[in-house]
Amino acid sequence: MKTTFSNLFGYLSLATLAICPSLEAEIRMAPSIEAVAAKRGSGDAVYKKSRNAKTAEPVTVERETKSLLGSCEFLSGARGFTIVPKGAVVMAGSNLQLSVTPPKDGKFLNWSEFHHAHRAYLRILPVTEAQWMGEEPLDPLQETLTQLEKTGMTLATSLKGQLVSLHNLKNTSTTNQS
Amino acid sequence: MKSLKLIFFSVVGCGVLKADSPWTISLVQRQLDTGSLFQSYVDEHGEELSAAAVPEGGAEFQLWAFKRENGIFEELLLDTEVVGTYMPTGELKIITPDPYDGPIPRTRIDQGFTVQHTVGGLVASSSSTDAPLAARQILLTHQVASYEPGANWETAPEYGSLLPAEDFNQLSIQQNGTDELRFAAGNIPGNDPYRDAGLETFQLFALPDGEIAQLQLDEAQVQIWPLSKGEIKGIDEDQTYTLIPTVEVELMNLYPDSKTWMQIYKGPPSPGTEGVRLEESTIVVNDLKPRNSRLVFRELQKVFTDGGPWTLEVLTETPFGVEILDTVQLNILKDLKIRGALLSLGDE
Repeated sequence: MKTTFSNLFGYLSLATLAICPSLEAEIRMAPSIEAVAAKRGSGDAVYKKSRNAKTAEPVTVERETKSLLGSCEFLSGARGFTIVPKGAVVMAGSNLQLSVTPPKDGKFLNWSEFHHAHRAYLRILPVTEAQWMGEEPLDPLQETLTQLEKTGMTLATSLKGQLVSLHNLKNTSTTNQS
Repeated sequence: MKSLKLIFFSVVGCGVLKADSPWTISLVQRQLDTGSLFQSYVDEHGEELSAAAVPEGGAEFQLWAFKRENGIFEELLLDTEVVGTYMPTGELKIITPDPYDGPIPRTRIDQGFTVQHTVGGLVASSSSTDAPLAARQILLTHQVASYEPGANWETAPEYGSLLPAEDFNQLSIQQNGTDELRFAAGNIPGNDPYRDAGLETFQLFALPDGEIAQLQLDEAQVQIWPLSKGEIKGIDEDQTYTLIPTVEVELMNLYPDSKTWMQIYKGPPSPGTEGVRLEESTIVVNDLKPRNSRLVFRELQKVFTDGGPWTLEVLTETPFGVEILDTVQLNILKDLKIRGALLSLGDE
C-alpha cells in the first residue's frame, strides 16, 4: 500500500510538472555540420543549370543609393520651410532662403501650404506638358526668367500646380550651403 | 515623340502609416533621359493619374515617406516603379520555408530558398538584330553580405551589423517569362553554420542604353540565420546518480520563430521519441533576430519516478520542423525513493 501510494504521489508530481501535448511533426536530430556543409557551396551550380546565360564578363553595376532628401533642397521663409526638387527653384529671392540642408528651426509645410503662406515672395513659372516632355523649347521660359531676375522674387517652375525641375533650364538660384 | 498614357498609382497604407501619423507621403517622378524631377504630395490612401506624362525614354516613380522629429529628418523609400515605352519589366520574389511575412523574408543557413524572377518587354534576339542590347536582356545580380562575426544577438541592432556586400553571381536574362533559382542552402560565406549569417540581395537591372544609366527594376532580399545549438551540462553519462545534480542547458541562436523545451523519457536515447515535456522549461521566441538563452534545473529529483536509464533531450520547434539539439542519458540508481521538496524550475 505504501509503495503504491508513493508511486502514485510520484506520478502526480510528474503530472504537475509536465504536459504531454502531442506533436504533429516528426522529431529528428538537428542537422550536423557535415550535412550542412554538403549542401552549402552549391549556389554556383544553380546558376550553371539556369536556362539563362551567365554573363560572359562580370558586368559592373553602378548602384545608387536613393535619397529623397539628397535630391531635394529646402526653401525657408518666415512661416516655415518646405522641400523642393533640386533645380525647381530657379532663382532665390531676398526674402526666402534656399539650402541643401534642412533648417534647424521652423515648421515643415508641404508645397501648397508654403506657397500660400509666402505667396508675396514667390513667383511661379508655369511649365507646359510639352516643355516637360521635351517637345517644346524652353527658350520662352528662359526669357521670362531673365526678365524677372531683378524683381527680387523667388522663382520656381511648376507643372499643374506641383513643383518640377527641368534639367535643361539654366538655374540662377543662390543656394546657401549650410 | 508620342507620350505614354498616364499611369495610375495607388498609395496603400503601410506599417508606418497609422492614424495621426507624423509621416508625409511624397511621390517623385524622374525622367530617365533628362533627370528632370516632378514632385507631389499625396494622401496615405488614394489612387489617381500621374500629373506628369511619362516620356518615351521612360520615367522612374519613387514613393517616399518622410518625417521630422526633434529636428532630425527620416526618410523611407516605400516603393519604386519604372515605366517606359521600350522599358523591360522585371519582378523578383523570394520564397522560403518560413511563412514569416515581414519586410524581409528569412530562412536558416541549411534550409535554402527560391528566387522567382518574372521578366517582360524583352525583344527576342532572333527577331531583331538591330534592337539595342538594353531591349534584349536584363541583368540579374546576386550579392551576399555577412553579419559581423561573433555577433551577440542580445546587443546587436535590429538586424545586426552587416559587412560590405560581395558579388556572388550574375545572370543575363534574355527571355520573357517566369523562372526560378532554387538554392539548397544559404550562400553566406563561411564554414561554421552556427555562426554564419547575413543578407542575400538579388537585383534586376535594365542595361545601359545611350545616356540612361543602369536602372534597377526590382530588388529582393532574404535574411539567412545560423543553426541553433543546445548543450545539456551537469550530467556524466558514465555515472549512476542517487541525487540528481543541477542541470544547465545553454542555448544559442534560437530561431526568431521557435519554441524550445526539455523533455525526458524512460530508457536510453532513442531519437524521435515523444517524451514528457517539462513545460516550465519552454522558451518561446517571436522576434526579428535569434536569441541566446540558458535554462537551470536545480531540483529534478521529483521529476523521475524510478531508477534506471532516463534520457534528457532539448528540442526546438521552428518552421522547419522539430529537432533535437542535445541528448544525454541519465542513469539513476534502481529502487531510488523520491525524497525532498520540489523547488521551481527556471529560465535564467
